[in-house]
Amino acid sequence: MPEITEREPLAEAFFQLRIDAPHEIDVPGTAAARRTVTRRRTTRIAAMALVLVAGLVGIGYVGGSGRDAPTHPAQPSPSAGATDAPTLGEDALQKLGVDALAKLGYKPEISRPARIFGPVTASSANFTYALGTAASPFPHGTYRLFAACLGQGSVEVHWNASGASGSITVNCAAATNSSASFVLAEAGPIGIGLKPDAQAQGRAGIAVTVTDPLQVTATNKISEQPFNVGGGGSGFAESPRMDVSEDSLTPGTYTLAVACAGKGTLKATFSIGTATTTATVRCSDTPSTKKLQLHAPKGATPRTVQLEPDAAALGAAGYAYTILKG
Amino acid sequence: MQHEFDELYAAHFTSVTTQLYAYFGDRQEAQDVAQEAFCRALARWKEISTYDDPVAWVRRVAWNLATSNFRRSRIAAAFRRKHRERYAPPPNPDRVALFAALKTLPGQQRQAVVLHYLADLPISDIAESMQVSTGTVKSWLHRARTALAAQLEPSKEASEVRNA
Repeated sequence: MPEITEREPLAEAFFQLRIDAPHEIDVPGTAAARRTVTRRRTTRIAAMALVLVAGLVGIGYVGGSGRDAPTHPAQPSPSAGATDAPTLGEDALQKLGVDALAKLGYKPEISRPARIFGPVTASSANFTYALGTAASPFPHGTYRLFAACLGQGSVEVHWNASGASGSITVNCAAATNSSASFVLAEAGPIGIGLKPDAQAQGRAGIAVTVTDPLQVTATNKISEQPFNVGGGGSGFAESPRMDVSEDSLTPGTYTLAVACAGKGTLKATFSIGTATTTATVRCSDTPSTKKLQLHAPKGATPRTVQLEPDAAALGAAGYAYTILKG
Repeated sequence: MQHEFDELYAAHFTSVTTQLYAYFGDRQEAQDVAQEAFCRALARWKEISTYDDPVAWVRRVAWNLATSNFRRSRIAAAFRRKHRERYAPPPNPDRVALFAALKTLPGQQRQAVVLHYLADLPISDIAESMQVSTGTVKSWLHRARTALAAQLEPSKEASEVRNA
């Protein structure tokens, strides 16, 4: 899942629902709708016929067998449930893994150390994936783990790192995403283990991602700033980003502080009402903080932060920002 | 232009259901109401297929069903469904918080919030759909943001970790 944070609580809350909910919905299908409509039409015709027959009986003209009593109006067909399926071939399992990665918002073409995806097999349980290495450790900080699984059964996803261990369960049949947060106390690799149930082995594909280490590096840098009053966010530079807030600020001077870890540069634009300022933020393995200042008159809205990665930064940088008073 | 029912259904069932899901806080109920709305459209397809925007009709019917007696009449069926033995994944804490927060809103405010944040409708379209003034919609959205902002502020604690 592209980990985008912004300070408009409602938009953020609905964002996750918008991504997850469509995959949780059981679609009854048009065939079920047609059956329902046909059943209702048949019921109405039968009911009308019964009225007609009853009327004819009343005046003595009926012959032959009686008709069935009308049934209750048909309910919409129940949603489809999961069924067992035979084990799948390697290509089909790999495709499920790619689809699971897409469900988290990523494409396999962009390879990142914080993403793993692929088939769920019997041997999955005996393997630990290492995110980061001793030579290229993941930085200390707060990470969010996302897991998506498609197919049958369910998989327990375990993580183990300096000062943190835990697990979540992701349901492949329900195709729901699962997530959890943990804190890496010191720089190092993160171990990811999978424990698929019997149903999932050979019948599911899975994807697991954690917060990109470049994003964590940038976030750690920004966390050195004082507590923000006007919002903040972080992300991985896979596309331009624009955060808009209509909340008004008290009049005064405001500073947008941005840090970028990785390669290339970001074009940062900070606007409050009609006032706007732009600066280039250089991304680096040891990022510094770039600051942009604006004066906000009384009641000025909206407040906008735009971050546009250049070609070098696309897919190769993580950023974080915060808005400070003064 | 004649619209094909199957194409309309494939393109819009999920989005309509997602909006109702946020409104009800119950996925099964949302699925049932959405399916009912599409069934009603299918029953009148000869007429509705000639509309410029058939899905607008379906959406309107779905919301009418959601806010009307139709929902109450299905409560018994929903109760039976919920009490069947079946596997359910653990609820996502963020989702639980969102639905709990939405439930604190009056029905019309909740509908306006869902149409704005999930259906991406502009205020003018929401006003027309709900047959109220744009000022009323703006007022609802403002009150909803204020009421929900505090409830939905993310916690600084990592609340979802389950120790191995």
